[in-house]
Amino acid sequence: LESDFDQPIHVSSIKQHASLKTNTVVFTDEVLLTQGSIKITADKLTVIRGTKPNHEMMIAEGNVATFHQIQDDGKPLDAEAKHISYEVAKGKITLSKSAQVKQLDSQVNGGEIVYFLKSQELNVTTDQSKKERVQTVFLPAQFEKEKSTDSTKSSTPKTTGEQ
Amino acid sequence: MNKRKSIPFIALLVAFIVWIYVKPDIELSSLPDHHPSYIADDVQSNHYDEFGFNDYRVFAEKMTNFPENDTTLFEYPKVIVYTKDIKTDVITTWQLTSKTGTLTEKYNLLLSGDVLVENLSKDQLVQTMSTAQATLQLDSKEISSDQKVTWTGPQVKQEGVGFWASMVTEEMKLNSNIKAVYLNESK
Repeated sequence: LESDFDQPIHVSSIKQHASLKTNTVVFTDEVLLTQGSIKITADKLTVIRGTKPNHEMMIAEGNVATFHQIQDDGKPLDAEAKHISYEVAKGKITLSKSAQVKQLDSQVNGGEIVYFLKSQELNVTTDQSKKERVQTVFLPAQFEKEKSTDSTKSSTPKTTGEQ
Repeated sequence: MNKRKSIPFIALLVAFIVWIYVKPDIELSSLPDHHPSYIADDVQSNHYDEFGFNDYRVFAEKMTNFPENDTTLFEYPKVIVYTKDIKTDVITTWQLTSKTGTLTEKYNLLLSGDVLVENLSKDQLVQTMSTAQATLQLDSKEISSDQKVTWTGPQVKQEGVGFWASMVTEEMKLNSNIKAVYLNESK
């Protein structure tokens, strides 16, 4: 939800190590971060304090770390990657290292996926070195549901990115 | 008053005299095994490390020293610890207060009752730590506890059970049940 952006962030884990010198707090083992409808799970969460208040940088790592949010239209957005960074002040989530986003039946894989909480905008970029292309799979089922409200019954092509 | 009437009084007198000799003398209760060697009020003490640096000060409303087991009890102790960063020469000041304190083995200070550790150098990651009981090692400047601890910093409140912290390396480890809240007020 867009309102997630201003909610307090709750983090729970088994262990924690804080270092004043580096202004860093590291949560380890069964880390769960929640903020409104946002839920991030990871094996390790590093929180680096920003220069200004409420400008933390949070880095979740895991095999894999997961991200979940209920969007304003009620649809859940699920993502996972080995590395998820969250710039709290910008509300910017960056998934990298085998990043993948799923919403209902559609799924997007890419080198790096950037998601903006405020605008709920999703940018997928490929990993240039591997020449991978973005692969987006939209299943007809998802279109049918939206199309069923329209009077015209046109057939919907299935689009797949080239390999 | 003729002889016959005075007999009861004489008997009473004799009985009293006999009682005086028979009565066991009251044993003064012996002093408790350990008795304080000294008691000090309104204590203010400064400690200097081997380089002459005033590394901590101990205040207390009352201090009682028991030499036999080398224990010193404090009432409402306040310990101020100064740590100097070797590279930057920046001095960080910590203040520890509690209801009671027990100093053993010269540097092992067990603080009990509303233990509050405050970082007097403002705007650092950890501002306060509070717990029911913690042990302060005055020589290594380390604090440890197996109790629940709550620590606060700018816009953050954290909680855990069992912790170790070093004022020298300025780091802290919490052992379990970590719960943290980043307030994230509107930016």
